[in-house]
Amino acid sequence: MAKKTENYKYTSVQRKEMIVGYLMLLPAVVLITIFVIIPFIMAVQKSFYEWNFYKDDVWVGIQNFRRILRNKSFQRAVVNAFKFVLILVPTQIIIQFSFAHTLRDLNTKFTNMVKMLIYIPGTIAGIIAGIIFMFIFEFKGGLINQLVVAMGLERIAFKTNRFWAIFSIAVPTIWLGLGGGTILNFAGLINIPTEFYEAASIDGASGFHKLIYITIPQMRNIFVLQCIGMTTGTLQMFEIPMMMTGGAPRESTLTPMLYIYNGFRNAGGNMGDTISGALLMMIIIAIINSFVFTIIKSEKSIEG
Amino acid sequence: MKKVKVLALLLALALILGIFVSGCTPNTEDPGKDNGDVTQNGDETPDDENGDEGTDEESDVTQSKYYGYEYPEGETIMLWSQNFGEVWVNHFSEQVHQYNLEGRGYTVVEEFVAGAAWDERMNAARASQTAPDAYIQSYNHIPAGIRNGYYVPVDDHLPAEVLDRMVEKIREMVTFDGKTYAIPILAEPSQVLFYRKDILEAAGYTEPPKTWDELIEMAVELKTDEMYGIGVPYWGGEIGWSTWGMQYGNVGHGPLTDDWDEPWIDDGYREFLEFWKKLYESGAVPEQPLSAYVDIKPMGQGDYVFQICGSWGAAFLINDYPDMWPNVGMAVMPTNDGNQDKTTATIGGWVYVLDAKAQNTEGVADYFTWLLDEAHPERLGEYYIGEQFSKAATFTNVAQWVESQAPDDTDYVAVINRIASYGQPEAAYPWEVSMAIDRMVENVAMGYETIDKAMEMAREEIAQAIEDFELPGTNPRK
Amino acid sequence: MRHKNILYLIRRTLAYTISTLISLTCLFPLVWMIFASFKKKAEVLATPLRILPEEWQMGNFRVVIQNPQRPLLDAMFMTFLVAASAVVLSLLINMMAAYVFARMEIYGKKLIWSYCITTMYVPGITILITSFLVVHKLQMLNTFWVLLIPGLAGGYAIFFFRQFFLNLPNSLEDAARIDGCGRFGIFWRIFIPMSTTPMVVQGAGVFLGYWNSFLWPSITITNNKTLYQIMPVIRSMQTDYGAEYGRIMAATCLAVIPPILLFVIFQKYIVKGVYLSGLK
Repeated sequence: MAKKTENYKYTSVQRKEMIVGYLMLLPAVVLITIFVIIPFIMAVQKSFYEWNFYKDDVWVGIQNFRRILRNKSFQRAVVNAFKFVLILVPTQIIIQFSFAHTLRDLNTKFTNMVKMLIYIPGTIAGIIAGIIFMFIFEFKGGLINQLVVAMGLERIAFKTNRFWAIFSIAVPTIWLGLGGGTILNFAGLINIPTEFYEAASIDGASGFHKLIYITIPQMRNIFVLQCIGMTTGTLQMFEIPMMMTGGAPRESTLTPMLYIYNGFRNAGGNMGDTISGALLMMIIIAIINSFVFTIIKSEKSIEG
Repeated sequence: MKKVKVLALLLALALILGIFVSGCTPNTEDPGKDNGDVTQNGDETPDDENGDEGTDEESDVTQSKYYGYEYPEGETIMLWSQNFGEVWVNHFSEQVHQYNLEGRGYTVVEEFVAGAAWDERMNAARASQTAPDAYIQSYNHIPAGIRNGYYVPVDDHLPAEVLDRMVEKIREMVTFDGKTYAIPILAEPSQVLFYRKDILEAAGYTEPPKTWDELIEMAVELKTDEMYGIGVPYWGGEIGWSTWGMQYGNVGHGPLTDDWDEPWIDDGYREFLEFWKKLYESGAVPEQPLSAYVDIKPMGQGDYVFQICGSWGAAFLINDYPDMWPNVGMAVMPTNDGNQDKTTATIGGWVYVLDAKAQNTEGVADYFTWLLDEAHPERLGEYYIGEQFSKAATFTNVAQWVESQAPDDTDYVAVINRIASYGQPEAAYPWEVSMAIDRMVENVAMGYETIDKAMEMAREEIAQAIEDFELPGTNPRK
Repeated sequence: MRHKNILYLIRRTLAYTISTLISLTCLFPLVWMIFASFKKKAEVLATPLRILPEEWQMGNFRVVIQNPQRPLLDAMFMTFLVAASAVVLSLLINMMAAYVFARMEIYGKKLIWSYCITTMYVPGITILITSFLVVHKLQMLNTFWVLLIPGLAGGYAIFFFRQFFLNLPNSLEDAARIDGCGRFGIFWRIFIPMSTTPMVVQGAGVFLGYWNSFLWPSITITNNKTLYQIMPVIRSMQTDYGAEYGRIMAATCLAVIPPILLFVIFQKYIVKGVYLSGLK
């Protein structure tokens, strides 16, 4: 098939088919052009202007980028985003994997039930999760602090203490992702051929050895896949930090997307700054993605 | 093997049940105590349960009881304001209704946008040139709005007779380069000290604290396990704006020189920072405030001995916590030296501005001329009554009318007026400068940085803002 | 052997116990939300703690449903309408494109493929402001279309269906050809019926995306009450009601019903779909 395209020679039937093909592509291509590509080009262009909505645009060259790059809040936000990646991605993968591993040999009806129950939070909007957990983490009357006080400890200031602020963002995030991740891990575990384990048992391998030498290597692809998804997702965290802490304390939970959103809300601000920040963030995410993809590709080629 | 599997399931079930039973038992012991606590809060006594619920429901419906009403034909005028609570919404929907009934050729539609959604909706509307003809802003938004070309001056559209009735001090706050840019609706000191009269009296105090030190000492003495000392504004923005007046009065100036060409963080700020440090070190304040600065609910529920809040807190307490209100006193915010005849608060509040791209400026002007009709001071005036006289009227004739309606025993109104008489306008410099102060306070209060280091960091941030916003020589109040 | 059996019993018992506890913990925030929605305002964050409402009262639900400023049920209906239309249209549009990319030879395919697929890398917030300017230019603001259309086509969905179509056997087309089917006919009569699982998975994802979206509807629908979407309404209620926690919880309770219902109905497919997307 590939050869035919190189020859640029098509029969009339193929030409007719091609027209059908173009027509089938048309809606997707048109929509993508209008609602992704054009806005993207505009964003690139607007990032070189100082502008708001009521005055004429003023060309300022790379001034916006320079300003955003030395903006302390934006710098902190980017650092925070990576901090969240380092904290949340491994934690989530470990939790999801361990849970899936626990479920693995249990009664099928039971595991189906569990899978259903833990997936339900995954359907809930970040906004709503934020509202619920705001109440749970409330300083005086919140559930957690009431339990803490009942145990005779000091109340936890979730918005003032840097550690607990991150904690209060991590919990809803883990909660929302637990179901999907566990199911994915479970599927991976089920797909590992049982012969591997049987062979190992004959060799007298312990459960721990099986885990290290069979299970984890076999799950590698799933882990990598989760890593990519979670990393891009975490870098773009927005709704939960907005609802839980608003970036407090000391901007230690301010995320880039929250920063950009605040820039859009700030009536006195220059939209050019905001857009150049958004573009920089996109570049960072794209670099990470392509980096990870190259790793996967090279690993696959070694295997294949 | 199968037996073992089933046994495992059953055992697990038993274990879980066990955990639940043991976890739940202690809870059943304290419903009695619980009830007591709820009643003490004052808003859920068994008697008014049904009544409470009934009124709540009603008030939600009245929010727009005129929604979909048929008015005489007229061009539509769009107004946006924030939802500042039931009093505001009820009063202004009523006024709009009355105006529309008169059939003056325009039909006003006022939307009450929730505070959290305001900024993005407003900016989106600006971006799409679909901003309402007039909308609400706070005083401190005006300078940036003018810089960005968002507003048109109102003196070209409203009769001079109306504008000249504006309270002089207020008029200064909305006048830039000789032009009036807004129709002020209310003015209120943004920092007042609320305190528990009953608790102070029981401890033998006859007067509220006057200095920062007294405030902290009393709070530390009077707080209990159930009750925190002082509710204060929090960082992340609140300190940025709510302490403007505190800075002007105690430090003697704001964070910028008059020419806006340099940061002005001097030793006056050191004292200011030491106060914040002491607040947290002494344990006078909870580690994390119980509510947003603008929200006086914790005071109403009896969670604080003192709470710092804007004067609007009075109206909320009177309307929402009538059982608590008799125990609450209001006082001038304590100062560094005990002198209370100086600025302790800025005068904040809300104004309507005319959108620069408004479709129908004449219609807006007609509505406000009607609302501010000299013969009908009650059209705006009744709002202040609804707010329990906790806000100052912005037009002289309205102010006189409101004063004539005020009952005699309103000590707190005198306090508010006293604070307001020393009040200064809100900051005109960009928000980033205020945020530098906000972060400086956080750094010191939380012990992240020494006072010197925090001041140095604030200086750097402000210098950056001066450069980014090209501030030198742009002070509109100079 | 006996010793081993006992160990096995303990391990399994623990496994059952822990997994049940985790599942219940997962549901706990939702259960708490449901209880809170029946509570009076002072009860929600009352000290000392109580989990169950003192008296189950429906007042909160009544108030949020009857609030004419923010018509909750209307917003839910409208959001449902938008989301349901989006599911149908987005499946059709993206599957058509995916089919071409997977099964057809057309001139410039590679180029068009990269054109479509790179859009996966553009985060929504990067183009938020300029997308807004575009829909404004197209005069779509405050219309039904601004909610529906911009999110329909997407690189990821095309990628997802293409992977699925690539794995289907080649003989499918040949058989259909003999019956005289055109390309679109093949797609419509053979490929669509064969794609139930990926369709449900992707459709559920689209539905959730639309139902849960917050930023876009809150900036594009500003003066048309009939088009209000559920998440901005909930967020507004949060400030409108201030201390009325019970009411906020009542509103969120109602707002999570459709997505949960959807998941429960299509549960089998969705769980299978997670495998599918994970194990290609």
